[in-house]
Amino acid sequence: MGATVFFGCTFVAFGPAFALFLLTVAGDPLRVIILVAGAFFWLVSLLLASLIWFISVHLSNREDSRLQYGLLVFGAAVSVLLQEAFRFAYFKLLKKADEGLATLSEDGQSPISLKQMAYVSGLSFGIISGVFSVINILADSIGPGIVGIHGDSPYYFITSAFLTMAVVFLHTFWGVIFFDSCEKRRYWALGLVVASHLVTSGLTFLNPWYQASLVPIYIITISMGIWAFFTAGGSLHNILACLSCTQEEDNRVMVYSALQVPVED
Amino acid sequence: MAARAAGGGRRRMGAAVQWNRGSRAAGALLRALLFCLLGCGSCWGNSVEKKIYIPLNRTAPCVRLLNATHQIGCQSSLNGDTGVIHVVEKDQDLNWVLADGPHPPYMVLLEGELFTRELMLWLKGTSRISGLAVAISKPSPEQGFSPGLKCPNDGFGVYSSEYGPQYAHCNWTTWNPLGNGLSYEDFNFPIFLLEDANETEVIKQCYRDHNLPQNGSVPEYPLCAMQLFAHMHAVTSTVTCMRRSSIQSTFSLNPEVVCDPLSDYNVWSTLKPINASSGIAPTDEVIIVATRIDSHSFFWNVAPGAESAVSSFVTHLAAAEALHKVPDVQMLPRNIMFTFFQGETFDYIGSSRMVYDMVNNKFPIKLDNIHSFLELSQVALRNSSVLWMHTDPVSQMNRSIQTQVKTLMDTLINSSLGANMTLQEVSQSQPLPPSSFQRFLKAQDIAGVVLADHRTSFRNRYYQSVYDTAENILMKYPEGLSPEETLDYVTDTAKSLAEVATVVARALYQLAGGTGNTSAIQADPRTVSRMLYGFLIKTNNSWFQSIIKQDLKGLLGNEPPQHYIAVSPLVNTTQLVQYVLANLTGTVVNFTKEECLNPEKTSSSEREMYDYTWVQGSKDPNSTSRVPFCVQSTVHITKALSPAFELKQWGSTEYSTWTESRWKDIRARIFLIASKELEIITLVVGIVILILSLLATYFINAKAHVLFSSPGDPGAVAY
Amino acid sequence: MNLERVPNEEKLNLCRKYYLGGFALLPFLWLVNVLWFCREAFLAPAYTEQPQIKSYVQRSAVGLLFWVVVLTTWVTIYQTHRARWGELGDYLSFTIPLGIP
Repeated sequence: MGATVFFGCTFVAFGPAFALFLLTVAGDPLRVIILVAGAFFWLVSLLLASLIWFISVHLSNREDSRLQYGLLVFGAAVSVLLQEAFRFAYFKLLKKADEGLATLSEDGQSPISLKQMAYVSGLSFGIISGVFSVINILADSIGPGIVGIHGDSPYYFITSAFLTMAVVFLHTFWGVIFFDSCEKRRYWALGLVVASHLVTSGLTFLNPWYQASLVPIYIITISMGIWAFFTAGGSLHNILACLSCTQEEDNRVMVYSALQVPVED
Repeated sequence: MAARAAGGGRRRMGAAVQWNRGSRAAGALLRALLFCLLGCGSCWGNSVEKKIYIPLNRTAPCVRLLNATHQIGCQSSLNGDTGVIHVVEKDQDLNWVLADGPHPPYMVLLEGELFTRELMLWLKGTSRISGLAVAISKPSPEQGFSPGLKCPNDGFGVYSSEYGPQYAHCNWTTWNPLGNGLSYEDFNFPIFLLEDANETEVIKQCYRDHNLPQNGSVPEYPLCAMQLFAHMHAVTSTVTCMRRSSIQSTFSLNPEVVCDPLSDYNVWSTLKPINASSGIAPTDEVIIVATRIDSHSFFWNVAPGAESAVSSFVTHLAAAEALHKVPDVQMLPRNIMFTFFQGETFDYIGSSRMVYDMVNNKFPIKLDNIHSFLELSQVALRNSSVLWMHTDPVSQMNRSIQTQVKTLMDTLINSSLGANMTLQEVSQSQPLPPSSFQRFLKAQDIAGVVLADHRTSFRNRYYQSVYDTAENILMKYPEGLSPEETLDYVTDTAKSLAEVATVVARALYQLAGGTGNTSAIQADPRTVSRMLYGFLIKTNNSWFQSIIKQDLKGLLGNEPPQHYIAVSPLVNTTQLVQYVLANLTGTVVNFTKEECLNPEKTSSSEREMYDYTWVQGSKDPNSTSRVPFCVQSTVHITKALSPAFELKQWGSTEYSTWTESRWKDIRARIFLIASKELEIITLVVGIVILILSLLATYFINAKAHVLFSSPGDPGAVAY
Repeated sequence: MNLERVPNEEKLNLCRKYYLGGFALLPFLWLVNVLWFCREAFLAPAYTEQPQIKSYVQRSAVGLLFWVVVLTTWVTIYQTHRARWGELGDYLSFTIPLGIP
């Protein structure tokens, strides 16, 4: 299909992640460090999960396709649990780091809030898992062909890209909720995060029946998004306030900008 | 990207891991990381690629060959040429491709019978074609098919403006009237041969499913397409490509050779052993028996050459065996040299090199030692058992040569008396057909005869084509034979070739000065059948297995062997001819493996005269092991590389200058392609999402302090 | 190096070095000179060394222009005529493209 589809799918899959990274993370070195370290934690979890799956495949009968399919499902579940375990480990690590940062800083306050860390770590998990899930597919989308010669859906590339986008969002939201729940010791919320992660992972096994996987995954994404929004301190009132003050500010934007530019510089 | 790069090879998991789970399947993540961590690139494939492409494994490409002035063959673009498949089964189907079809360029799947010069030149002139896949036609085309030239090896034989000008350029006889010269055309699109009917059917099914115009309307996307990769590095001519290769190897840090000369080895042996290093006495006389062992077709490394090469060299081998069985053969006054020339198809590479070596004292035998010359040209398709004796009218103007030629022919005719065949002389004024003998005549007047089954033009209707197979020389086996029975089954073809071999052997015996009774000299039809089976049907047979070296098992295969000279010595044909000749004419000596592999260490005084081969022997019927032994023979091989490359005269008109281009990637695959609209929509959706995300993030980020501030917790300004 | 922190003599010295260095068939030095000292030569408030810097920059620009013209002409001729030159074209080429004349 060529470069057109490659860029189209890349923008779909990583457009939001890129925008979030560029505008909310890239400007702050501390957030970049948290992002990279989070990606590393996710990678370690994947390494362990893949080792478990690899060993189980090698120990089992490789001719038995049903068994292998079962092992794949099992591997996916193990991977999800490990990812959440490492998210918890990362939370613990960040808590420690946060204390350290607080002692270092002049005013005794940490330069980054826990909610910000939750958001950045969630985004890091999302980006790295998105990259790993879609990179093979993107590489193949550069070639001239599309999926379908064996009767598969020709919308494979674009649906994969949308799934990846959902994954990025989901991990971000999960990160926010998870950290908050850990902080407040709300174990039922932790359980809900892990369960929804398992469900999402399981839903992908319905592919290539895309309407059966994409639609529920996006429903989960949106509900997680709303939950995360409220967890992060958002409220209906805030949205209204935001909308109204946007308008207010719009009227005065010239004045402010005239005043503010030299100061910012 | 690392994951992708590592996943190059085939996957062993089979159906166990299915990869249609979308992007999120955790298994995919596991696999992706496994690629990186274990670096197991050779054993894992990329299964997304498998969902997109069906590789075509049984294909043969047309590649670019070059000579002093021209390039011939085919060329694809660097990244392969892609086109929508259209099956052309009859001439009318072409209208769609050339005029009506709305999705050019097209990749044409052409039926074998339609692969003609007219159609190809027509396709050459259009830009609506991106490539061609030719399905081999079964049975072979009725009307005959020869992509070779009407006048094979024109300009490199003996006839020229100085030597028999009336015969030059096939003025007298067109030897290959069916030759359409397709092999010698230059095409700027790739052409592949589909060798396997099942693969052809897969392509046709894909075409029928996706590309067939439905009741008058145009077919809708996705369409079935094919991509052919055959990008050739060399260009213009041998002069250019050899110059570039040599410049590159002199100056460049990373030399890129773009073409290689066609070269291999000639195989030869003598009836009486001669010292290969010191040569023979000037007074010794040698009779040369010659055949060619190579062929060609439009497609690379597809050269069955049943009639054009195999029939003659098999006859030759059988005659050599028959002669070696004669008891008093070592007492004969004249020696006989059995010569198998490689690369004769390409302007006499093998014979011109041997003559060059003889002239330059690089060969144990000199031109002056040659008593007479007997060449076996195509001999299998005889009409009412007549074999024609072709001679050169120009050299026979010399009285002594004429007398010698007369003697030669008389001896041949005498030998055929009582045999089930007749030898006839062609008209005195007819020139020689294309033959290695011409290269010897070019250097010196020698008495010689070329034996062929044709009087004027070739009887072979498939000269240098993919159809010159066992069927062409009417080899027929009864149904239901096991491979072992087929190997030993004596076909009529084998019988008739054995007769030719018998006549040739008897004549040679007499020419060499033998006075004994010739009726005992008899070529073995069973040997001929085995050789025909081995060289035409399957090299991987018990006989070939038993006569080759242990480490050469790999050159035996279950496919019909091909006899293209190629560029990297030694090709299978040459090696097999070498071992068969050694087996048929050599003797088993009681050497240990150590002695056989290093004969210079033994005390034998004859080691200079012989070649020793440690062959793996046949399987013991009671056990699975083989009993290897040492064969002593007079078989030698000498280089068959055109002297033009020895002399660095890449623009030579005297010697063959054929080179083969190099390439990196030759393959073919089919897949579906999407419409341009879908591609554009994907891109637009992507860009819209990117821009929306940037805008939304910008505004949310700018308003984060308002959005995420809960009244009770003013300190938690989040984003 | 931040030019604003460099004394004026040093600037002149640097500019002269770059200008002279360009004569050793190094047009890129002239390019750097032009870009680097453009602001100093034409936009900065006047100082004693400025006229000299200005003249070096101008001469560098002329030299640069000359090189650009020469190289552009040569590259155009080479690209369009290489195949026609045959043997000469091959000897003039460091890398020869594969598969095209």
